[in-house]
Amino acid sequence: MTVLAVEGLHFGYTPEQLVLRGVDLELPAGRLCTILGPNGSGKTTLLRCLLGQHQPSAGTITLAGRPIASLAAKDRARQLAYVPQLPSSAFDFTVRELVSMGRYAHQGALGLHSAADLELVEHALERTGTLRFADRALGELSGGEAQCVMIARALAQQPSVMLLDEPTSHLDLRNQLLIYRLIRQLTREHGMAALVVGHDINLAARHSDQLALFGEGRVAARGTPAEVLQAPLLRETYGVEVDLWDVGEPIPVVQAREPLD
Amino acid sequence: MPRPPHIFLLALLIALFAGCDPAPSTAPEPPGAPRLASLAPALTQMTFALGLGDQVVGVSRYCNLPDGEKRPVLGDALTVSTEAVLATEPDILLIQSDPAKYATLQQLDPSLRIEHFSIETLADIPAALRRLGTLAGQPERGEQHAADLETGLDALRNQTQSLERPKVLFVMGSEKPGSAGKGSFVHELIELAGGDNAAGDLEGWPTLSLEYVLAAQPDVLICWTSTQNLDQDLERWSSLADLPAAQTGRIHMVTASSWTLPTPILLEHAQQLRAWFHPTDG
Amino acid sequence: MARRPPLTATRLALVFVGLVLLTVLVWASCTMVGRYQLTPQVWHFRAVRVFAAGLIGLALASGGLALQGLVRNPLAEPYILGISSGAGVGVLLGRSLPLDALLPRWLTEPGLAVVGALVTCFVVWGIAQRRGRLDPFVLLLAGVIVNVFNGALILVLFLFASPEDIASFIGWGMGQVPDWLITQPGLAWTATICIAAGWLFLLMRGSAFNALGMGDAVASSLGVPVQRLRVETFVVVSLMTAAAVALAGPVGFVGLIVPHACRLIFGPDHRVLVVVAGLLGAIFVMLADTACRTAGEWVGLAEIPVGVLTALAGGPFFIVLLRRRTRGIE
Repeated sequence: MTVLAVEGLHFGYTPEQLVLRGVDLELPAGRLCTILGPNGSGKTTLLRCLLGQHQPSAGTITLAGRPIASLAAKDRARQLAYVPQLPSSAFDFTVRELVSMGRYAHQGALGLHSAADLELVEHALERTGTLRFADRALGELSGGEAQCVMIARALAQQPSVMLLDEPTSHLDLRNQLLIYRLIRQLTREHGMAALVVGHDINLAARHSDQLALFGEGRVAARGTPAEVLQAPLLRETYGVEVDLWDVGEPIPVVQAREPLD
Repeated sequence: MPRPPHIFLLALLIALFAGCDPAPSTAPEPPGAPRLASLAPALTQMTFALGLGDQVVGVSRYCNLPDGEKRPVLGDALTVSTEAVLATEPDILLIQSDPAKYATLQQLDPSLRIEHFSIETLADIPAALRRLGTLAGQPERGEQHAADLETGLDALRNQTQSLERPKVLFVMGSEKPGSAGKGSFVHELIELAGGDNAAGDLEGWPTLSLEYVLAAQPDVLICWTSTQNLDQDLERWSSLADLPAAQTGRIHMVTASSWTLPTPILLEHAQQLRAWFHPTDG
Repeated sequence: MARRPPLTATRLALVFVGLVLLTVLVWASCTMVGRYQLTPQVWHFRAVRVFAAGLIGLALASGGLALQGLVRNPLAEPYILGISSGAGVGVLLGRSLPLDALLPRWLTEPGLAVVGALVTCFVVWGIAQRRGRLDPFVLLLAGVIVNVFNGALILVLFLFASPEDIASFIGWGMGQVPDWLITQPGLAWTATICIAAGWLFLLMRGSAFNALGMGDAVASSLGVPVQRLRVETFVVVSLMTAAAVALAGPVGFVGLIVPHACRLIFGPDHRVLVVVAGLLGAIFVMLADTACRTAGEWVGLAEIPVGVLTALAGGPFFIVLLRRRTRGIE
């Protein structure tokens, strides 16, 4: 079942220069899809369009079959959650308080938490392994821990789709692995779809159900990692000669060898 | 068009400059009479009241002159123009402020007599009148006016001695209003006119809070204010429901600057006050 | 960091009711205190005046808190939008121009203050916004620039005003709880409704301000209508602050210190802070005003302007709080 569908999406900051030139994407429930592509190919812009920050000039975005533009802010928030690249908090809320803010879309005017809300928050903390520092401020945590907090907060929204913007770019090897594994597990357990804008090809390939290769404002290739990791495709998208190393797993390891002129 | 000869232009310029005279630089006076310059509004008023206006050669910016009279302005509350003072060639400088301020003047013109007056109470006014008369060379005029004033004040005092005294408050404006306490001549006026000054336990010219006014519960309120603020202040005081004076409509607004100047006009003001305090008593 | 229990409806209600009762208690006590003997008339006067003081404190403290949440900066305060300088221009114009022909001063002056304040807000908004969107940093900058410009305007007006007008304007600029509200029920009601309604509005936005702390993108994804919230808050805080300045002139430091001190003591949750900062702000100004009414005697004045006291008292208090807090972190 497709939870998020993008069809023919066009967008440009100026009418002459289009960044997105007809993006097509389908995200099925319970699956992790990573969008890969070179810098400036429009990945972040697509994310912003999905979040409603930009108005596309053409094309549609539908969430569970309904056009996203027709949804009220809180309705959209109940289905779509967002994890930013760099977690930040201007005021020193505790981790638990930050995660509780994920319930905003489900609350009334005063923003008070019901017992059910609080239970969901605890569950989110537990599930993401952040319970042990639930009473500390975000600033006291490491990068990986803080990222888990943001994921917990998104999880507390009980979304059907989670959007993550380069969640592992600034993390060390171990945390990169842990985060991706966590996202994968959450998709399995909660039936949630995850769309990750990724950076590291190999990391994405190992943990994603689907890859979408972005090039020049549209999806150049889409499918399972094995399908997408083809040398000609990668060469064309990234402008580099690549080597694909077989390491005894279904998915090869990609290494860039030589840039093309 | 033929060019006018240069001589006409010159004549024109001379005519222009000759006519350019903002105020008479010398007032007509009995020759030989002392030339007086007054830097205090009260002293100016008294000098003119004594009929000695002809001898006044300069005044301050805040002096009120009788209608039709003009005199050169020598300065204001903060600064006095040394040049202007010297240009009018006074013999006597009448001041109420600190004489030390005029040390420069004294040095430049040692023949200048600087006469300092301190007029704080009602009794000081007849004394000032007498002294002004003497300084101006007309002591009998000073004596006459002083005696008239004293008689008037005594008469008033006798009239009001045994009358019941309403509680009176004199306020200046409405925002954190100033008032007149013990030792000020307005206080004396109130007492003279048969009132009981509700600010009488304070000294000098205190600033009152509105709370004080309400605590004092005056029966009569005299509000001294500028014409600009008259409507606003009247509106405010009248709508103060807790004020007895407002409840009975006994709020009187006055705007003349003479209310706060120690001059013989205060007698008229005292009589006005008496009429307000005791409207039914003759 | 101490564990903060989650905020439930009961807890919030308790805090609200408790603080309202405390505020009323403080109000009642303040009306009993003063230099002069308590009579029904004196009490009546104090009742209105202390209430006005509380209203002003409520407006400035909760307005300051909302602005701090809005621009994500704990050092923001209501006057950054140019409200006090704008009101000052309006008031100075009123005092130095002969407008008495049109309307009595007591009616014109609050009106001019509000007009000046709102015109300035409008200008700040115009400078800071882009396609209807407000960027917090640009908003701060625009406010600073407009404040400076207003200051220059005031200096120009000084050139043409009389010394008495300048002196009385400087007196206004110190901030004083109004004496004459007791005779101006229209003004009193308008200000009360404006400020109370604004406070209730902010109360309902508490959790939205919380979410805003994680950044516009995250807040928006949580369902917070970020741009609409910014505009609404800007308008509401402008009105509340303009009302406070129209009543008392620019009373400083309440809008900065009270919310910040409350945040240091009670934590950053805006749902609670709007209530706490608002009512503690009211209490603070009521107590300050009482001190102003009574302590003037010791320094030979009838009264001390409340703005002087808030500045003198607020600064050091805040420094102590900040030192203790940073020591705790180490």
